[in-house]
Amino acid sequence: MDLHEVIDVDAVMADLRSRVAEKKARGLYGVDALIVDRPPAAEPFSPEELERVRGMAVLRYDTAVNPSTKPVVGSFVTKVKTTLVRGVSQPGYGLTAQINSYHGTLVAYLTRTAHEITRLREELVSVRAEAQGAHDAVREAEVDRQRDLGQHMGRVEELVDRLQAAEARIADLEGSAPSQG
Amino acid sequence: MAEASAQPRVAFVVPRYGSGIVGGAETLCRLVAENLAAHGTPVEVFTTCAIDHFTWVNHHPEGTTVEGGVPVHRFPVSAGRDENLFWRHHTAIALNHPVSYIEQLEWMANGARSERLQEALGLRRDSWIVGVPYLFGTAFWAAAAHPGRTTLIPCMHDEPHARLPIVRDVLNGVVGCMANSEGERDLISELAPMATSLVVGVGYEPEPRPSADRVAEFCRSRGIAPGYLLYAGRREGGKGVPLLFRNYADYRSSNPDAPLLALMGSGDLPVPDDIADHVIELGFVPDDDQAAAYAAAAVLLHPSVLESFGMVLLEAWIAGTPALVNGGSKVLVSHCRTSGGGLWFDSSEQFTESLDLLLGDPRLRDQMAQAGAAYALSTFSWEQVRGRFLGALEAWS
Repeated sequence: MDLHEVIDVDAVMADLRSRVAEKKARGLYGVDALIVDRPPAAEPFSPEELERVRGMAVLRYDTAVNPSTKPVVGSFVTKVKTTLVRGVSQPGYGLTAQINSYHGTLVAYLTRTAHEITRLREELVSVRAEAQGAHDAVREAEVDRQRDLGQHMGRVEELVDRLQAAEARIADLEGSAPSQG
Repeated sequence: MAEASAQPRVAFVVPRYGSGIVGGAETLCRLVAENLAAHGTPVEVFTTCAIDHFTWVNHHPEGTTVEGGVPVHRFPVSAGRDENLFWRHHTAIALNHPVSYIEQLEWMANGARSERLQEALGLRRDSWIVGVPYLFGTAFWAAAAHPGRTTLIPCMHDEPHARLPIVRDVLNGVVGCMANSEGERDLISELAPMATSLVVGVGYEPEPRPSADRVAEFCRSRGIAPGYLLYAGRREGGKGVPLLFRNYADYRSSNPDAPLLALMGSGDLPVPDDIADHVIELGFVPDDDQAAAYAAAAVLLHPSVLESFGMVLLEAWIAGTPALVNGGSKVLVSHCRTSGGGLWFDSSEQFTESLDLLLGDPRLRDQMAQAGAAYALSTFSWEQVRGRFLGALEAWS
């Protein structure tokens, strides 16, 4: 038996490419990892919705044929169907692989876009909170400033009162002093 | 028949030589030289005293020895190499920066060049000079001095250095080029349209797979269990080893029970920390143990794009091990596609899927290895390779 006619590595590779595309579409290569630990409510698409999209993205090329039940010629018809289906399996696998690869990329893109939107939403919330915090801080600082100003003004007024009192006391002392002459 | 007619004298010119040298071109040169010599062709080897292709420090004493039935003349690498200039040009070329023709010559002049070797070659007026590979000064300057009786086994792959005008001129100027594969021959035609080339390659003897006892003995001697994933070759960035490490790490992350990764060959590229505990360092493995090292592996991993032949691929098949190769190498993919002996990967995900398939199906692995071995022995038997080699010289006489 000539073994290297038995193994059609191109067919094996087509099948492998198809498997990779299928797994990519199902999110088994890196895509799922992106949504782990994300709160579902924050996603534009729920995990169930994404899973449904992934499921629909995967095309499977099936080389099985329904056996013919026709009397007499049934087995012959089945063989012809099988031969025909297998005869076009190579381009079929190729097409399926390409379609799955495209779908896989698309679903991954969709998922990443969803995550990006989520991230941006979270960032927006965070920025708003920061802005509110800054606003509150400014307000508090203004209150503090006004309070400090009031205290300072009070202190100044107190000092002015004391100064005036001191001047009056000095004037009284000068008026009551005995004459030198 | 080429072998029946008067045997031509052949002087191989290679920068490093010996059974301890790890390198595809050097190994190919040694195997072809020894096989031709064993079948009556007067062969000798002209090489340098160096064994390190980074430093080119003279290691062996100057002089002639007989190794594997072949006279080997070693000459010192010329003193006064400007290493800094060499690496500056080498890096600039690798990065596709503009490098003038004079600078290209400076690069070649400050690499592996031996004036004494050149002088000795000049005295072999009746010999064919066969330079291996194109990238080093030994073959380059021999071809420049004696283009009318020089052929190259360029061992060329698509890299920036191969696209230099000085390389094109040498390829065009020599009598002919012996390619290792159709893929390499296509590349030669693309880069040097005036060059004459034929596919010759390297040969393999039909050998029984190593016995289970032999494999067990090898594993016992190394303290390892069979069924590992094997990388064979120089451990260098240019050979795709970083990609292998990354893909293996990815594979391990989804398959914690993945087989260990064994590294066979020299090189000091560090293993990343995240997989260091799962890597076996086999280091240099002597010829006698190599078949057992291949046979003990579940799959040979060949991540290199820069291949003109891929000797380890065919060696693994003959020892009974299938392969997973880099889909970016036309040469390796062509071997796998034609033989059915291996799969290829274009992404980490394909690497994972392919490994899962191979590791999960021992029967498929066995079938693929047998198919690969059948291809290797039918296309690259020594008799065919000798016929193609001597036929090329005769055609170019």
